[in-house]
Amino acid sequence: MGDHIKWMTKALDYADEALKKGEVPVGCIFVYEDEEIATGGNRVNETKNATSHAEIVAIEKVMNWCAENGHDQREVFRQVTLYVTVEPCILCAAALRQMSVPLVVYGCGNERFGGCGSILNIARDPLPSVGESFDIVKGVMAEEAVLLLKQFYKGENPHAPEDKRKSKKSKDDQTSGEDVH
Amino acid sequence: MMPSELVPVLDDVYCRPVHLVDFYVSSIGDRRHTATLVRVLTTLHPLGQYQHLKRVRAMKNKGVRILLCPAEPQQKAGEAQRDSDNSCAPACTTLTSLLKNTKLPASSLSKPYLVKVPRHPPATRKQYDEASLYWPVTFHEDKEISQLLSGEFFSAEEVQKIKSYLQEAETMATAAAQKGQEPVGIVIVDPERDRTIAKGHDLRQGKNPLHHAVMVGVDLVAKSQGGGMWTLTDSDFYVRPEEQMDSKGDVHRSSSTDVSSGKEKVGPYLCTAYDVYVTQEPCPMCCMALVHSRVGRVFYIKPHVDGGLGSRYKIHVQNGLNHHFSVFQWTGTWRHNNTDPT
Repeated sequence: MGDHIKWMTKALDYADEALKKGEVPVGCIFVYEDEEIATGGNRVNETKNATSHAEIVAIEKVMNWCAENGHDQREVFRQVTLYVTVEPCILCAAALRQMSVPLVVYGCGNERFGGCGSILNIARDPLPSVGESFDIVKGVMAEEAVLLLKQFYKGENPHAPEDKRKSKKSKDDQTSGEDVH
Repeated sequence: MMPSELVPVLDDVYCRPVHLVDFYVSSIGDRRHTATLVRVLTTLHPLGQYQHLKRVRAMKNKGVRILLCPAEPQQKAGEAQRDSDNSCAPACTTLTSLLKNTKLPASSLSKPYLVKVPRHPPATRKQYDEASLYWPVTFHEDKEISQLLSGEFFSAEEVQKIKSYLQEAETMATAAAQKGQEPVGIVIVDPERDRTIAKGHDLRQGKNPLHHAVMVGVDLVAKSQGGGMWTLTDSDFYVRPEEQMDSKGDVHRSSSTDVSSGKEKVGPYLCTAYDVYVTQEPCPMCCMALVHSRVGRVFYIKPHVDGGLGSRYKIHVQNGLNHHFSVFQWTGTWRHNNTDPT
């Protein structure tokens, strides 16, 4: 769990970075042999492509890392762990499965688009042509991930001091808003 | 009527056979009591999720039957089977209070017994006809669905246009095959102006295994808007050059203003309302890419076992998702030099 917290803390930094650029605050990190090899944040607005999710961005970076370091891409993907602040959507879950990523650790659920059980269970459903199912660990630093999403959707300044932030009803409405991810 | 070459892929609600559920009924001895019994039963035992069932059924020469209550307490779909030797205790209780409330003699209603009635409201005329064989039901016809199912949704001219775009997609698929790629081609069209925005094909055998035809197509559309996330160079691909404002100033320029930034929104947004012609049913990843991109309609030719638009899932009508779109499978054939229709 200590490792999970360590990596998720960093993934949250990338989500925060996305937020600062006006993107939906989702961040992720691919970890291979206890080393961060690729990171990603949402780039949907920047690329005008609704599929530029943090995971898709980071998957390509893993490929680049493999090319630069002389690693077999297929072998690397089979041994990585993905840390992502929000449950991967159906698109990303299917992409991760296709790349044979064995383990995904995420923060909060994604009730609008989630592909690891929230809407569909792409992570585990039998889909022989897409690849092996993957394992998930969920709820790691979920509150922090939700807080970032709320800041995005409510247009709050994430850097305002705690006591200056608008106190909105912040019950457990996990993820909200559009195009989370 | 010609059988349609474009088969709509509809929500299961429109395709499923009639499912049945056990209900307790009782026969009314004197049909003059019907109105009273219905009135009291409506408060005593509302139909709830079974609003589509009419409360009474007048049988030819067999008197009138009245619905008392479901054999099982009402619950969500997928409940367990009821024991076959279940007693009719709940129905008897209902019956007793019914008699008490209406002050009718016990002889006015028969002992409750089970009948099978349609579980869901009929969504199509076919379902309505089948459901009515079991018990009278109400039916609110959805004109568009009826038209879709009639095979007369598209005019001959529209079918011709769709067919020609699908043939263009086939040409792209052939080009892909010639390069050792999966033979999947895609054409994305703005139907309002009847013009092609992007043409491409599968590239998954290259650098990035996620370069499925749909993912490629969506990124080519982004490039047509000055965006894009991948470097995709292929001499067969087409990307419509970015629109300039025309003399009227309205082509591809929405008049809406983004309030938060104060900037005018320029150009189309993602693939909003675009038509997608793809030679193979998209995988779940690609289907979700189409949802996120807000496409209007998708036409595909070959189904795929793990496809997300009818075969394995129906992501285009999935409950809970914020965008839905129409899907048609082309089942016709055509003579086309380069294609293998299988």
